[in-house]
Amino acid sequence: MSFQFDSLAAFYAMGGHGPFVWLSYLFTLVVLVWLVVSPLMRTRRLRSALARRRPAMGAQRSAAEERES
Amino acid sequence: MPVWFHRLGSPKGFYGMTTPWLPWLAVASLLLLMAGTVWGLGFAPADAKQGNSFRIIYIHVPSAFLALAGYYVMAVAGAIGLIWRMKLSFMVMKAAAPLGAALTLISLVSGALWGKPTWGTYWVWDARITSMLVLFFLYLGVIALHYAYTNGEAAGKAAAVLALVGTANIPIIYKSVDWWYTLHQPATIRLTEAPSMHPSMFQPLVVMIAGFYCLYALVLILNTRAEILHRERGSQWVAELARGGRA
Repeated sequence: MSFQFDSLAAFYAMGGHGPFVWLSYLFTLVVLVWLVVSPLMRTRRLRSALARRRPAMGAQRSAAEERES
Repeated sequence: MPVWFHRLGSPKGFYGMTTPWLPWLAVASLLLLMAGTVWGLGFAPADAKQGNSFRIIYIHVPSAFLALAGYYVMAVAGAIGLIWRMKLSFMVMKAAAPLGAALTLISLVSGALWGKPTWGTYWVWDARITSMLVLFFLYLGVIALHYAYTNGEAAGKAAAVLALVGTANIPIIYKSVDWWYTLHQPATIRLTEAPSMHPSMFQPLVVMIAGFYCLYALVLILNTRAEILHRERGSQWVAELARGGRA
């Protein structure tokens, strides 16, 4: 198994097929990165929403407890 | 039924069980995809007839492969949700829809970019290509149904019915290259026969398919976990998870 191209320039050119090959790999990279990043961002948003809600609920409960006493 | 099956069936059990899997899947998919890309782009020999445009096969075939396998995942999850009313399976079905749509889009775009230097055109209404476009719209339909309902349960039922009806398209996609022999070439890999490619071209393809499989599993689990957090946000264990920081 050896590198199939004589030079780096030949590797980029891909025998004239360069634009097609590189564009398809670039498009794939962008989509795959988006696939991994979007659920991670959604998880972060959900977690920060949960963290913000928690102290508020605690405050509500203590207010209710004060009223009862 | 074994205990792990019951754990996997509950959202909380699934969440806890999959946490240690994530780093392994991430590392495996990254390594396999990087190795397969370098191998396929630089070290596999060019095709005698197609030249270097043939290197697009290393993303075109794996993405099309997973787009089809992913449809089974989505339809089977939908069927389990309808029959056994398992909460988790509708979440898996919802998680599989954007993932499958993205993979179908990759196979369509890479196929168009491969078609231009090989066939002289980006697009033809060939049976294989058209049935893949139908697959893309089926995925979009399942996504759209989830947006159309505010009730998660009703959305799950409607989307599951659409996903099951759409499975009729899958054998058409598989057989399209044999039934209507127009422009798209027949399958490169068949389970029952030796591959029609030279091993030096075939080995990097196997590495890429394995990489796409790992990435599919990773994203499916990540999507499902996000959906679990969203739907179970009022429950005790999610509240404890949020308070405890990482889990």
